[in-house]
Amino acid sequence: MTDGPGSPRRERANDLIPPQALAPLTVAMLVDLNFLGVPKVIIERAGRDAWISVLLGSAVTVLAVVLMFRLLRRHPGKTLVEMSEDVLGRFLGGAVVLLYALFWTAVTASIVQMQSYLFTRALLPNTPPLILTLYMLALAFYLARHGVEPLSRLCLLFLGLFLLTLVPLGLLVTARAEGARLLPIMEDGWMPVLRGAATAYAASHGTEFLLMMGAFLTTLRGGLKASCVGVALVVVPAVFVTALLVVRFGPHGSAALAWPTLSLVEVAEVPGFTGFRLDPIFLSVWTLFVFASVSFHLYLTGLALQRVFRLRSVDWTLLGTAVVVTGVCLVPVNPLDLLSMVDQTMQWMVPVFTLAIPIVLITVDAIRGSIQGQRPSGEPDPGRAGE
Amino acid sequence: MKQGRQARQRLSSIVLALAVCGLAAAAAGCWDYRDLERRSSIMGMGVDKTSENGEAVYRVTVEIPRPSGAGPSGGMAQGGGGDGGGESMPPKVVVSGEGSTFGAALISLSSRIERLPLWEHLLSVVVSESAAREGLSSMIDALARSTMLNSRARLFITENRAEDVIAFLPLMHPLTSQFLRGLEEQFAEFPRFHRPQDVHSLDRLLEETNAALLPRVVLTEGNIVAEGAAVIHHGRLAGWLDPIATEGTNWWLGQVKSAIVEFPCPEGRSAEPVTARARAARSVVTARLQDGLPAFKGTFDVQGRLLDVAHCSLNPENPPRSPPPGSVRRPHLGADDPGGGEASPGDEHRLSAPGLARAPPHARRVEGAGLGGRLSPGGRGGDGVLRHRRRRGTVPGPYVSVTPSQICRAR
Repeated sequence: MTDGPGSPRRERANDLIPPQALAPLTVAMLVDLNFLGVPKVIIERAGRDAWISVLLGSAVTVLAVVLMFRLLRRHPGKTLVEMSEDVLGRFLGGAVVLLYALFWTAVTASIVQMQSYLFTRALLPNTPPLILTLYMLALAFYLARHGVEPLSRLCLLFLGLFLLTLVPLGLLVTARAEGARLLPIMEDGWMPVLRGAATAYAASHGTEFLLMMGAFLTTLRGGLKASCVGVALVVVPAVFVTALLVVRFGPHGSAALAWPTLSLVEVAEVPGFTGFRLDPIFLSVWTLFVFASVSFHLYLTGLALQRVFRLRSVDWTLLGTAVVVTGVCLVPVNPLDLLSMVDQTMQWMVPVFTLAIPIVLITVDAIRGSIQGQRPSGEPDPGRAGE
Repeated sequence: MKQGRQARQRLSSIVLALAVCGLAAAAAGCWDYRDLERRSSIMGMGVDKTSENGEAVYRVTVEIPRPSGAGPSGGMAQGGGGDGGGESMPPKVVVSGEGSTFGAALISLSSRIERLPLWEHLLSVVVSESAAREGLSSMIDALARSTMLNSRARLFITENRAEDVIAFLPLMHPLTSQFLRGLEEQFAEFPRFHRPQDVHSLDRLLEETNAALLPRVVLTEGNIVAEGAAVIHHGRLAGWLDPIATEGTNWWLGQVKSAIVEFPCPEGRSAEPVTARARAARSVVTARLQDGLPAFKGTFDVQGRLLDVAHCSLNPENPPRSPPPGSVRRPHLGADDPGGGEASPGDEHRLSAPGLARAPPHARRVEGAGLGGRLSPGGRGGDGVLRHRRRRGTVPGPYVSVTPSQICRAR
């Protein structure tokens, strides 16, 4: 990477991706462990109408994506670091970037810890979770230091696997499902549905990665559409899984299960294979999605820190982030407490990082432009057009 | 300068190689590695409840396939079951454990089996009447919560000792658990026992309606027979349904896929009914309030293959337009059947006969609460009116003991 401090940097060849690559990256960032733990909370709040909540929550997510692209278009070729420094000044902008880095580090740690717990709960009960944590972080570090292009290829590979996993699962669990459990619709009015929608939106952390992608896209054209496709590729299966949980376990039953989606897989039966269990396969496959998400979160944190501190290489910031995440994962936490804490904090963190900060940046940028009567701070400087 | 860089690169390569080797060794499952020959797959489980010195004791009996090549004991402790270890080696090992709670009884097995119990393959759980009358909640909770046990295992209730059922060697099959699981497939053709359920399905039914049915199995005539159903109310065994009533219940619940139905010959005065193998196409149960009481109406559409019309002058090619006096209802046969040629038993004809499920006038009113309902004279129309004593605000499901064949016989 050729790092010219304070200016948009040209990225090396394997750090440039086409805008279409944003679709698999969006899927990877949104999926992580959301399918396993979040449906329980949404169903708890919205009851049998949880699937409507997922749809409504995703509408807000799409709105956030549109806003982020609006910001990216005002600052073509820049990441969040340069954009926020241009708009808010170096120190305030740097502070904003550090907030994002802290957020991504916390999210990475929570995902890794939860994944290690799930793996030891169901597959390797005697293996210390720390070993699984180290293994995942070591691989994630290796992948992340090679840039965004290999990451997006990996996510593209996993995208097909993601759909291939959920569609047959849905078909297998419908045998004992009771469709009437979805009725009547909206019996308790809008409030439970809206509460569920807020939870669904809070689970969509990850879309803020788009703010870091401006410098790595060959062009912005088509990026918004690709990102929306990515959101849709997650939302459609999410609605499907939520509805399946309600028709199979009922709203109360789903809310009573700690990991309802895992329970759904446990009860899935393959015709002709009596006794054959799918949950070990499902969990192993899901580990790949979690790995993609962890790698990308690690990459984003390392990249943000490298850019904000004007470092030559991303390796040391990646390594530092991985060490911090490992340290956080060493703290013993009850997984259900962690799930509850993540749910509560995301209720306000996600709106801040995906809506509020982009809106502030756009607004301040627009005000500065109108006051100074000049171009927005992100527009290319005619004097530097040849650079 | 160049030498220093080379030394750093070499050092980093060594560190990387060591880290990869260390992690590969650590994460390859060494902690959880256990040879297959040191595991024992538990396929079936029986639960009995007895009383010792005034204290309730759970007795859990498990069924383990005998490993080929194992010694007389298969390397396992022998329990109180049917494994005598005689000259002809039984195909399975039966081990029992006891405890004051269900969980304690499960864990007590570890001191009787040298190999690591592998519960993930559990297929069937047989619960004795004595344990079921005390309540199934311990078993439901353990099966649903534990990641060790298989929550897809099917539950059965027996009037015998569950241990005897598990220890029994069924016909044509070495394992009771697999035999019982195989019965689930027979349900599609013979609905005179209730469809086996996993613990999650049972749990949901009990939560939503406070009532559920489980298949009843009995040891009789040298075999295990599934017939009838156990009525579970508020998590406890409340009573039994006989096979005929169970079939009727299955019709009402929309669970019948195929069944033998009989109806009076629509032509002539033959005493012998017409027999058909019906395939349920659709069942609709609607509920409404009638005189302040919930009333249920069931409509069952079936398509049938005629099996026996030997004593009836019915011509399936040209069915009667109007029902003869006293018949259940006009069985509308073959109106849109494209088939031609001579009809014979076995020819497939469309049988649209909601009347098959209609209760005759003397058997329409159902009194009692939910599953405990019984047929009694009175009533009108085609509706089964459920005299329901509302308890805790829960309306039991449409569990009315009416079966097409029962109705036809009643006529």
